[in-house]
Amino acid sequence: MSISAATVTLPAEWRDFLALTKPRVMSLVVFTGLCGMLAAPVPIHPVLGFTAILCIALGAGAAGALNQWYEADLDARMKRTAKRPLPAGRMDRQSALHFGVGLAGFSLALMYFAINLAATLILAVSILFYVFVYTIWLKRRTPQNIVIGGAAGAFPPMIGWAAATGDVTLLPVLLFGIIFLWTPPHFWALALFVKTDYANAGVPMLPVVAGERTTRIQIGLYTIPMIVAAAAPWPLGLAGPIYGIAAAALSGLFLAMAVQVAIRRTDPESDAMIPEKRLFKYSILYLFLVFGALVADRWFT
Amino acid sequence: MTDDDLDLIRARQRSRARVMAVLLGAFVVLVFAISIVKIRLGHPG
Repeated sequence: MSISAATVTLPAEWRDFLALTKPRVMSLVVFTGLCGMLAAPVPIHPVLGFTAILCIALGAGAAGALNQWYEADLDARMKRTAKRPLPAGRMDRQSALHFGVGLAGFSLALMYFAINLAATLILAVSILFYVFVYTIWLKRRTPQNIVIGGAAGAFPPMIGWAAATGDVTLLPVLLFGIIFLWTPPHFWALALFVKTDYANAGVPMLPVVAGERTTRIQIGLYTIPMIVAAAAPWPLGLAGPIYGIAAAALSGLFLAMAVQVAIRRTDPESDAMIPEKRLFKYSILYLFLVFGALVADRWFT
Repeated sequence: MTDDDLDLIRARQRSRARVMAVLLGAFVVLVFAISIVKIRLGHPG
């Protein structure tokens, strides 16, 4: 845990604080939050909308910083994360902790004063869930870590919706459900091709604990309820045909890729894991497009 | 600690201070804009 404390003598660069917020993860969080807000039936003033999205981004950044503060030892053992500011020794842990807590407090205070209590409470729950339930409690203990922990990343559309309307109805709950059920196939596709990394770090990801075969089957199984959640808004009358048709086409492609991954038998030593990498990349695009289709549907119908 | 180290520390402190100044300035503008919007919308909060 005290990897960097002895080696860091220089003050960290501002870019390292930015890196602590996991900007790439934040882009998806911001996008889904924005879509939740734009899909709401009540318009929000652009300045307040911008502030709400800023608060979601800052809250996600705070959660990312606290995650990196707690996981500095794990990150140091994984190739993918070893260059992050803490394991690379460019920042001391205390700075990361102060930055994360300060940013979380700031995002919640701004959300409360500028927007409303409902959005603030959901943002608080999502930060606390990511840090305490996922990072501290589940990640090192169970292969179900990302299944339950996925809830943390599923809150943003609900926060966006609550920022616009002040409450939560069935559609934002379904949007939550889509991301929640999308997380396992997305992360397990990644875990299949970075399995060695997770194994070296001692993280009990499903491929490490239960093997590749089980992981592949689970990817296929989780894709089914995800598709049902993605399809539901149209038949329930919560979205129109633009969304319904787009979601069906995108989900069909997702299912085809997931089935291909689910039924494959490979030699883990020599396989390039191309279908798994393709599913992982497509899963990100899928989420962007499904949420984009919902907003397009709301605006054009 | 050599002069080079001190120079590096000062350079980093300067660049962090500059970023902080920009962020604080942006925050002031944002709070002002939020206040104006809230007054116009007649929100009690």
